[in-house]
Amino acid sequence: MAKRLSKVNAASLKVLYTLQLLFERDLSMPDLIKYYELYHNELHSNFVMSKYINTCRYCGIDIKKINNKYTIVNFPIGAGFSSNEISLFQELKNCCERMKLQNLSEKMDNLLTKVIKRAERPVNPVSSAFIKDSKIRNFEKACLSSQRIKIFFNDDTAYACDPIDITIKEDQVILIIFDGKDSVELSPNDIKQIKLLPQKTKNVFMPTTAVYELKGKLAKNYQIREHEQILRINSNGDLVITNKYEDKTKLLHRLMRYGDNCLVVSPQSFVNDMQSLIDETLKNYA
Amino acid sequence: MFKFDEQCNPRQISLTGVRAIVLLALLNIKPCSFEEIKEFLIQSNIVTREYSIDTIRIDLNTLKYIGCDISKATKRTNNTYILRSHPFQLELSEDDVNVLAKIYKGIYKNLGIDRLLEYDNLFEKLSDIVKDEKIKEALKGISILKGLDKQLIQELLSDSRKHTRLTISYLSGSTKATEYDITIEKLGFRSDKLYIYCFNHTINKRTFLNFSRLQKVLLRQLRSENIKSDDVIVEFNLKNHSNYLLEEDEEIISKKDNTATIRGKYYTDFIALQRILSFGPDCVILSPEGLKEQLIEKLKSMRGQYHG
Repeated sequence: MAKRLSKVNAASLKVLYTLQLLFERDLSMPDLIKYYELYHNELHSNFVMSKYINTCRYCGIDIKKINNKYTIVNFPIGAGFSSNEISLFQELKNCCERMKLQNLSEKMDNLLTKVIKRAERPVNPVSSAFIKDSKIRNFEKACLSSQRIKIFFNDDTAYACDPIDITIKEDQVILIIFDGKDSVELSPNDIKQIKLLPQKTKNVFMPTTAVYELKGKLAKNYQIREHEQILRINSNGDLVITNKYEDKTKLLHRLMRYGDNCLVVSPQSFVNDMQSLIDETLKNYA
Repeated sequence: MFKFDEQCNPRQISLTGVRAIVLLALLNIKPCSFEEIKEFLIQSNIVTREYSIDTIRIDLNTLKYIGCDISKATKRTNNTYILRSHPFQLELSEDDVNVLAKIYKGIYKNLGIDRLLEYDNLFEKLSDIVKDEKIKEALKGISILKGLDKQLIQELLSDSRKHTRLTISYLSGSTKATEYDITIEKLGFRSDKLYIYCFNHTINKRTFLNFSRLQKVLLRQLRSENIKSDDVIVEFNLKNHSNYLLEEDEEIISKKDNTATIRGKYYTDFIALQRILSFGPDCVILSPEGLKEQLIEKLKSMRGQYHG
């Protein structure tokens, strides 16, 4: 519960308020004075503000002037992060940059900035990389603004579609689109260019639901995946699974792996395609 | 411990401000009694011997005023003040957690178990720091190792490095526990589940066991075991090979047009067969003959499930 102002130490409070303001954002001296007055209704001179900043510095809080703004570089109070823990955050950030994911990369920059302030040992400030790849940047932008796109492939084909999401699978970026019937996973390597169209997505993403049965040992050990739901567990322990969003080709190839422990139940088009996959594979050995 | 920056001009600092920050830092390290706080402040030349319990109450009130949650010093708290939370703690938003989860899920398959344990500890630490219960839960749900016995994972990793022979109790059926003598070669993920890749002396062949079905390690033999087990080597032709991501132990030995001849090393026949099946009609096994026959049998059995 907040204490009455008469029972607190006013000078300490002012130092802590200054620290709080700098924690929220990096500020130049005029801005710091302005914000202090705005939040706490008290106008201080440069000299007094500098005194509060120096008090924090004396206590080991590393406040540096970067681009003319007071910036908390390191705050050694609180759960400190070890260099190894910081390296894990950096690994995630580097992954976004390597995959040219501008939006995720910016979000990781902000997160890392918050974390390194609390490093056990001072760490260099986060440097943001400018990502040049326009196809992924445009796709991210289209996902955020729900805008339709036109994709131009390396083989000179092109089509308009709705972007759904961007994911990372085994260190590879996957662009997920809705082609009007199903969700399709695309690799940026197959794409020459992505253009944003001046139309909103249709928001009628109703993909086909695939139903399949998993049996025996596989059913006992099966780990339900992101797009899957258990429709039913049969009395013998077999699972009936529904899957809405997985790319059809990728799904059928994954189900092939399970051999005779998997049976595609519906829709009929999926059943037919599975049969064709098996027949075509058998033909290789005829 | 706490370090002061002696380079700061003492005339340009507020000593009462220092007292508040030092108090916050001290309580953040551990719960402290009035005497411990006073002693530290005297040693640091911040207060004199006259520093009283009333002054500390005012200092604590100041910290509470800006949002610190500090308990009273009572018998229950062993006469110490406990800092439960403070406004300078790391705050994570739902969006932050989603970003962490999204990137982690994209790369975890390429990380070793040691590194995954480090990530697991990090997410655990973050969930301890944040206050919002929903975000705590979301952080706990990111790690692929969630719900698994981390201590046991670490012990098994050590066993795999030393090739220790183990006797384990393993749930092979739904309820029946079986004893196996194994030597672990590695730990790894398949379809998001942790598996123990081992030579199973009881059945005298390589196998991979679901970690979550391991009930207990019954015995660890002190001497290490030299095991001799070979990978299954498969050569196959793969059409449209650029559509597929090759695994670590698969290499292209030749290429013609759109077809590559690949040599893959797999832990067991079963794993090899699953991999080959996943390529569908794009793949034709060249060798070994035995695996080719197994594949044909499997495909016939799969086809038999569908009518027409």
